[in-house]
Amino acid sequence: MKEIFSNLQNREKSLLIILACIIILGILLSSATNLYSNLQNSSQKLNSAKSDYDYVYQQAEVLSLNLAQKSFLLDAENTYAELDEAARDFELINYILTKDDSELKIVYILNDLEKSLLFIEESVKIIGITPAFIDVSRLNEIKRFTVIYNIK
Amino acid sequence: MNMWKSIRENFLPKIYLSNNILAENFKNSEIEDVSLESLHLVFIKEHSFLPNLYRGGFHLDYWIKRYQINKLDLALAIAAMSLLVIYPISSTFLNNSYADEYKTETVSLFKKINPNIKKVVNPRRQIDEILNSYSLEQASNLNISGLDSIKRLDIAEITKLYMDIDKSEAQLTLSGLGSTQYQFLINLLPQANLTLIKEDIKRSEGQVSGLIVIGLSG
Repeated sequence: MKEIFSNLQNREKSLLIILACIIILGILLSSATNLYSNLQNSSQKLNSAKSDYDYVYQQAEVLSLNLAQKSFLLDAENTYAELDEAARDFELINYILTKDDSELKIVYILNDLEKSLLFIEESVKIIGITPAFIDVSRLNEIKRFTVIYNIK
Repeated sequence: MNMWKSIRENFLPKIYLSNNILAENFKNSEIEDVSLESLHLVFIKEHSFLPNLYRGGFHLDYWIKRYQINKLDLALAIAAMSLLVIYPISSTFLNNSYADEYKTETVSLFKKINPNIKKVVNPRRQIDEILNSYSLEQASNLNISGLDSIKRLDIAEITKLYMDIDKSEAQLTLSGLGSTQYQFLINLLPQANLTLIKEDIKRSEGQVSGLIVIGLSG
């Protein structure tokens, strides 16, 4: 092969070298395009999968809340028991739950604001209803929370 | 020619051109008619190891020396080239891996809702169908507007915070909040997606007390 190449004329050699360079460059460009195209496709695939997951999660949450709400309206006592248990888990102080026909009121003391907000979110999951009013009164470091849910 | 014959009697040169005098004097020699250009090419080929200032070509060493490229430069260039190749490959792999994870989690969510679901082809349509099948009366939402804002308003001088979730409003009672601190709070509201709706405050001795109503958009 080397002999064949060396026996060629300079013009032919140059042409062959240029051709080889073009082929190599073409392969490199094609590979690079393919790589970056794959990257783009995978990004789109990821975004689509994430978007689908978020949507399903959101809808599942809606479903869960609605089922919780239905369960609360059917068997309120069971829901109150679950709330009591959650209140114990979150170590709420002076936890009082009062209810009438139109609203459900939860009052408690907790200095940890973050924890208190987590309890509110947990209570929403249990009752299936978002609170209508949240009142936070502060005296020095003591925080008293009043959360009111409209149940009708 | 006579003198040459007297010095070297048996001289048999290779003759590369058709010349009558030479042919007559060196009858036993091989005569080959070759062009001068071919003769030069043969000569160059046979002496290619010698330095030739007239011959050009691509030499990597020459360019490395000309642009004073040292080992560090070469290493950096190789690293950059490698990065250009490795980055898309690794990113594609990671993206595909995360996408598969999301798909698995989506299927897992469906299984939690209904364990009999075998295949998830179009998650959005399928979850909508499930929701429709339950004929939900009211769409609830776990995201309580402005709940995160309470965290930002955890200031000792805000003695009372009353949030009306439906209206997306909060009434703040201030008691002895420093003027500078109050101004800082008001300036920070837009960054926290909060808007000042009403201001009913009194300033005395560099302190602010009273009521403000803010809109919770987050």
